[in-house]
Amino acid sequence: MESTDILVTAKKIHHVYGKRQALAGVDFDIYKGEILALVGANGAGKSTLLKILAGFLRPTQGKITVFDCNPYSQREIVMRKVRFAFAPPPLYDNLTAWDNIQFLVRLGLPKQEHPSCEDMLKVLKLVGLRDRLDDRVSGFSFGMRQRLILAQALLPMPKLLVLDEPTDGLDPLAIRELRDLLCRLRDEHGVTILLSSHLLSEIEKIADRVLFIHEGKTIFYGEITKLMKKKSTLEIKIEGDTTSIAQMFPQMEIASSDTFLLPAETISLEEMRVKLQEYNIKLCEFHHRKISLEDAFLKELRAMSQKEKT
Amino acid sequence: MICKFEYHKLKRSHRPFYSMLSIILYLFFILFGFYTYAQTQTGGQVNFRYTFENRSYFNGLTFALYAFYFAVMMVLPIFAATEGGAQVAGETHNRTLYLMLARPLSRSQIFFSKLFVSFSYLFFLVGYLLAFALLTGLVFVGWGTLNLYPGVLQMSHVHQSLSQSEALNSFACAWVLASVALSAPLALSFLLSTWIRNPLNAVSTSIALYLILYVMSEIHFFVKLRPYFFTSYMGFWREAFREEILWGQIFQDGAKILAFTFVFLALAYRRFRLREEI
Repeated sequence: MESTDILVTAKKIHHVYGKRQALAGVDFDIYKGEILALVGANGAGKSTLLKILAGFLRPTQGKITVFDCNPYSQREIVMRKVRFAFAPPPLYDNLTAWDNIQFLVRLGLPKQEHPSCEDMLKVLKLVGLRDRLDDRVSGFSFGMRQRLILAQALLPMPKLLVLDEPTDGLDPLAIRELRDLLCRLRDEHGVTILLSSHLLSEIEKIADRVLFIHEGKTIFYGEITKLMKKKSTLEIKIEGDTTSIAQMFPQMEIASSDTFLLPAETISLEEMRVKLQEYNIKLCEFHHRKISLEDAFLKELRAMSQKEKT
Repeated sequence: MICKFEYHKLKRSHRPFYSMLSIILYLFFILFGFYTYAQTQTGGQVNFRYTFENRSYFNGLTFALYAFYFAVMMVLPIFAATEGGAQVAGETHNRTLYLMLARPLSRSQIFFSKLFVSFSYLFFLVGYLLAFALLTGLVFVGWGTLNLYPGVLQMSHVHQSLSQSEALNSFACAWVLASVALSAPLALSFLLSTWIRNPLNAVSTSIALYLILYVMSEIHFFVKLRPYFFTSYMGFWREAFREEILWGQIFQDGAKILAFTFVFLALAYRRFRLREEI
């Protein structure tokens, strides 16, 4: 990846609220055209990180640049390229959906850059609110508010789209539509997306890379495919004398009296068969167990807390 | 665009509607007060159109002036505090400020557009109250010469007699001057709403603070402290109701009020520019 492809760089970001450390040295980059997922439990520091990215907060320590600008002191420049959809969706309840969108998408832009009414209608149709234009937002369900906040974030088309918990309150069909929409935005319009979500099954389907944070610290940052490969296991069932297995594979985990587990990348089926034959052990079953992103996250979390204990 | 948006938000908030309704109610009570007072004084032998003293003293213009006086000193500052408090603190509390900050708008644009719309709204409310009071006075009592006697409402030390047209001119001046006077409580509530993130707390603190300062500026006990309270100068618009208007005095007191307004706004602006959105 070239340095020109980096839209956001965060180096050793710390943030302290009073005595509570919300972020403790988080590093990450966001590359052009990718979907980066930000994952963490409640109180992990995700919202603080997004607020720092939006220029609402100054990091206590560390440096963050968004399109080579400091988001706190150069927020107006940053906001010409970045759009945010916050959670829970803050909207003007007294205004209609149309009022909300028509004013918000034009704020701070010169007249010639104002999105047209057709564009606004198109986006509202895209999020399924075309028929609710004249309804006051106060009567909207949480899911409808989510759609509207997403709609306002799509106009004018941003270079970086930051979505905070966009799937909250959406029904399964809407989640699927959102997933398709985000993939289309990335693939067809080259929009880079930072997505904060709890729904790891969805992230697994659409994100390219993930940043796991826990209690303000990074526990994993990298490609999802690599993480899942790294955390996947080989489940091997054998017959014969199993005492020599531990010597052969020091990193193995015993699953039962005749089954053991190995990291997925350790060995191929053919190599395993040959190796076991040398010790007169019969290979009965050889399974490649894929791991879900959720399990990978939990494993990383456990590994981190064990590391901290030792 | 941002001022248009602020204006639209204000319109849709129903605050103007409720404020106008409250003003009508207030004027109704004032009128009712005058009517019942007149009846008490004359033992019921009175047609309200020719009221208890004589028509040349009490008429629609006197009624409008009384109503305006109490409104500017007690009622409109509460509207000003409500409006100022609802601006920054309201948007902070509802997190809609995030929506504005997430657009290419400077904090100065946000702050000054809110201030401009709030002040315009207050100017409109003062005008509305005045117009409605004058209209009520005209319809229910009738206009005439405006006579002001020493002592009453501390309007004048010597008897002032203004013809109907002179009085109407004075009311027009009073509209502008009272709006300037109300800019100080508005600025104070803006300042508090940049510090206090809950709009209810911001509004109630603004109202409480205004009332404390107002009472202190009225009680003789605090005569030495009076020059330091903006409330001591808020009645400067009354100088417009003179046969010979003392413009020098008006400019002097108006400048003091504007100085307080400027200081409150400067502090509010600094706070809003530097604060972090937690």
